Amino acid sequence: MSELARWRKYRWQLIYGEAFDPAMQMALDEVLTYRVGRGERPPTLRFWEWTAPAVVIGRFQSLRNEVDLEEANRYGITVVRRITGGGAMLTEPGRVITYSIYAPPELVAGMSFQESYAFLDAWVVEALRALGIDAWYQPINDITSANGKIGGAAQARRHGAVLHHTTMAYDIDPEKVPRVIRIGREKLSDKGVRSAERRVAPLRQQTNLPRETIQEFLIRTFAERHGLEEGALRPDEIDEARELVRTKFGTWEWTAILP
Amino acid sequence: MQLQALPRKPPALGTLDATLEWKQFALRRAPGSERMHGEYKTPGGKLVQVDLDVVDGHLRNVRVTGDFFLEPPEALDVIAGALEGAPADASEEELAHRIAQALERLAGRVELLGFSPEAVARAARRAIS
Repeated sequence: MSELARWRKYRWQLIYGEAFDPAMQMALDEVLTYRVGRGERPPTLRFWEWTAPAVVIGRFQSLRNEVDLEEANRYGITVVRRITGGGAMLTEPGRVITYSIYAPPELVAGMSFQESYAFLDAWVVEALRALGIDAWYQPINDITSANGKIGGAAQARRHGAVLHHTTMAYDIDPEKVPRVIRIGREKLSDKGVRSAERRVAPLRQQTNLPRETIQEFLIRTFAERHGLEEGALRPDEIDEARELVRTKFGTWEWTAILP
Repeated sequence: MQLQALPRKPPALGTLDATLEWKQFALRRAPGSERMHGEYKTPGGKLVQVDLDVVDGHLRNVRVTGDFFLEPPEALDVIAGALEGAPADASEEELAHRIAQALERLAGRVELLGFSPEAVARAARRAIS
């Protein structure tokens, strides 16, 4: 089956617009993954809007090894833990573009995990290239370009579905990132010079386009490639996510599960 | 470990033994044991960090963290658990073997992406030595 035929087997639904706080974003990812896994909602593409800045750490990261909690607190940055692996990132409203794909496992059947990362972000690389950026997929999970790294993805296979989410830098504050996120020397050991590794090439700098324009272009690319229908979060999905914030994603027990 | 009376404040710098004692109390660790930390990044992959104690020549309280990908997430406890109690002089190969065997015993599919039993074993060895 061709790559496009795989996508086109499903009726994709779009969720876009409403802003949520960081813990709610984590909870929505879990709820929507679960719903798609149970067949209670169609395969879905969700673009995120943030109400507050956050450091989002990976499922298997040590909280204190990754985040300077005092600095994060000083900047008013919330720290949350997501259900997918991967590394810590700083997200601020208007400064990143983040989306999630909630899909049945059949979409990536027969692929290795590594292959599925590139497959699930191929439409984005295509869109960025159409915007004039020399972008490509850098295994395992990075979207990069001739000018530097643009973003990274993470996946979880849970509740009978695949969750794949990606965050791209639109207009990051280069001063702030190293103040709140610790990057050790060992991590840079195979990447050459420290400054080169840290080089991020945000989309604003590469396109001069407003964030909304880029986001709308990404959505249009997905729609033309795979088909996409307007959708919305259902009230019961939002309620369930709020409950998960209360019992899990908003609790210290979860955020510091690996202190 | 027996609870000791907590020194009211950290001792002055320079009194090394007293400082260590206070630290060990603060970390709730038995005197004579020290929390060890090692890291290893798989080339082209992800970072693994291992924290552990060596008690009476064996690895204890092993914790494995990092920016790797792992399915299912509960397999993390199996990986750390596989190193629990291993002799502190076990080779990297032996430690990797323990992890691989423990993962094989798990029912269902386990996926490690960006790291491996060998990478965890190397980080653990680095923590010990």
